Amino acid sequence: MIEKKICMLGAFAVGKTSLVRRFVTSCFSEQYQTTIGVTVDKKSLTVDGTDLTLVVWDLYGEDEFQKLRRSYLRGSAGYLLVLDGLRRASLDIALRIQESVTDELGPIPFVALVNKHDRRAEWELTDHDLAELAQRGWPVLMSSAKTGQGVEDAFTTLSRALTQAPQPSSRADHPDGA
Amino acid sequence: MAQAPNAIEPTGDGDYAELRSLLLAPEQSRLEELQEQVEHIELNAQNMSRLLPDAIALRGEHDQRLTRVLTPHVSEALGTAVRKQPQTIVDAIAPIMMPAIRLSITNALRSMVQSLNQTIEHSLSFRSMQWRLEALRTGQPFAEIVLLHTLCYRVEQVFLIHSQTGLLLAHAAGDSVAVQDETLVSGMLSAIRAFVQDSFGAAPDQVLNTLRVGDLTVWIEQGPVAILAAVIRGTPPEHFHIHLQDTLTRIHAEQADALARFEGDASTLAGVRPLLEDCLQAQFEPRRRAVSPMTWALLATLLLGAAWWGASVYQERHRWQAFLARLGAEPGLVLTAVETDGGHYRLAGLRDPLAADPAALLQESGLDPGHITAQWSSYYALDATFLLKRARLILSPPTTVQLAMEGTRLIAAGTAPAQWIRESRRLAQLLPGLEHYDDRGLTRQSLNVVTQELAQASILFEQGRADIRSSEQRHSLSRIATLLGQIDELARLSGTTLTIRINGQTDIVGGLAQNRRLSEIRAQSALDAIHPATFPSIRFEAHGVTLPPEPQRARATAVLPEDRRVSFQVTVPQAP
Repeated sequence: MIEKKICMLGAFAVGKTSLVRRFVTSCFSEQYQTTIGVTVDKKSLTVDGTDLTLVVWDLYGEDEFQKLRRSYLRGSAGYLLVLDGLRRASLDIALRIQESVTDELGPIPFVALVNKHDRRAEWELTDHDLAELAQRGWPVLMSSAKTGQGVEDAFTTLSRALTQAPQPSSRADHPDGA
Repeated sequence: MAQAPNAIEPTGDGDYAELRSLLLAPEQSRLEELQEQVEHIELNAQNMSRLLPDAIALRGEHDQRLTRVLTPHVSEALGTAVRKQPQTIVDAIAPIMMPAIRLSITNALRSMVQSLNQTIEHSLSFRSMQWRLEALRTGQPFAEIVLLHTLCYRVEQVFLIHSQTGLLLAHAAGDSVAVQDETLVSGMLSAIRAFVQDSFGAAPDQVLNTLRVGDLTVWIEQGPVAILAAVIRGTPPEHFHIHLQDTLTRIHAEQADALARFEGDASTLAGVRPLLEDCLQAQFEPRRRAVSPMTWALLATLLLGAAWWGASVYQERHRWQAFLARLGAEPGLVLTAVETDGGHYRLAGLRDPLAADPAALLQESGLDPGHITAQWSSYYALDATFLLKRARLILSPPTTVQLAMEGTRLIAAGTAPAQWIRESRRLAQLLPGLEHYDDRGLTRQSLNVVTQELAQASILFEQGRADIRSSEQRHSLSRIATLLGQIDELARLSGTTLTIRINGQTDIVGGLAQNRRLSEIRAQSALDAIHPATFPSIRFEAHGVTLPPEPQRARATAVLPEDRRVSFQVTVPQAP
């Protein structure tokens, strides 16, 4: 059994915890997110015949009060970057987070999840925005925490990328590296 | 053929070589190849023998393929060796296994003895009573309460965590320790360490190394690649830090490659588990060597109680046996059933009404009557003793009568009134078990006594008179009549007929003929007064005695009033 650490990242209230809550094994209260800013959960799955356990660090959403704790990113093999389709601001935060993570860990695999797809009609995010993300080379998936749509796909896609990707760089140990 | 080159020598070496080359080039080339191969066979083997160790080491550093390729062959070879030469394998592993087995057995025995000691100690002390109350109050098992109170410290879990990722490398937990998902705990522990370090701006080498929650402490040792976290209940000794550090150092030394190449597959570090298990130490409060006075007192009380109980049981059993023997020996008591039910006894039997009272015997025995249920049914004992007793009870003989048994015969002797003799004969027939009642001796003796009494009796007359009219005469007559009644009754009871001669006498006054006549009249007068018909078993004869008896003759000159009388002479037939 191979284990990989991944992070759930995104702006505050984009639905990260709701996305994973129904799909992971958890034994810790969500209260930890508001206290120390993270809850560790676990998701087991099989990708292309390989058994994999994702240790999911569900980080508190970044907002004006709390910034991303970079130390929590250390050692992550990949991450799910969650956006709220209803809030365009979540896209900006996601862009910033992605830059931070790349800066911290290097170009590790990630999947961008645009959440709340069940309310697609109310989205502030436009197709143009999504196209821009695609142009950046981001793997973008639609998801709905309410219906569960896209969640398994997101884990599977990220897992497949993890099993094929080279090892995460150790830039966390050398934050000023290239 | 060997001379051929010489034959063409004059044409020059170069030509010859050229010619040979033209003719035999392909074959020569092939020959050289073969020769080279033959020579290189030895060369390659020698080279390989030199290069093989380095080659294996080199390949092993790159990937696991060499291991994967060799594993099945090594396994098969090992299996074959075990089957074919088991002794060799036994000899090889015995030095390793025997100490391990001895250690395991020693640990198990020590654990068992310690557990037993603790159980005994805690089951007898006042403190254990408090703990039992606490167990009742809190609903926790007693063993757990004892553990919590006597535990100095116990390492419940040990985590080996990859520093970089927070992923769990290995984990060990003690028996009966509730363990949450160790992967998640490992992750959260890493998160908390990161949080603390971030939040308080500590330097990279200043890390969180101790957590304390209630009576749980988490000690964390930081290594270059991995951290070792021990979850400890109680207060561990400081030197346990050193043990943890040593363990972590050893893990880094022994598993350097696996740690460096760790990509999420913790199975590559399975070998560290024994080292983690070595960290699962525990220490309990030192056991008191001396047995507490309370324990001694309790033991002494128990021993005394047991001794007292044993003695009581023995004594009661002894009394019971003695009581049974007494009942068995007692005439008129027959035991028919004896049962013992725990401390309660039941007995049943037959009892002659004249036998000793079992209740009195029970009191004499010293047994507790409350422990004994007795049921007695009445019966008549037929042995001589009881026949005699019963006869004495029923017949109520006067003191002048002696009763005795001869076999089944009841013999009555002595003297008794005729009425008693008559009544006894009737009652004797009703006595159970009595086959014969013999009162012949009694009857005869009684008859003799009465007849002797009658022989002493007389009726005195006034001078010259033969009538019976004075009160004195009537009194004498009445007494004589009573004696005659007795004699008549006794004669009838003895089946005989008596003859009583009534002798009339006179004093010396008067002539002989006159006196003869008077004496006859006096005898007849007494006979008449007696009413002889009322005594059917007696035949009376009245006679006048003319001559005084010999003694009187000597004093014939005196006039004696007692010579004027009638007296009675009884003739009893001899017994058959």
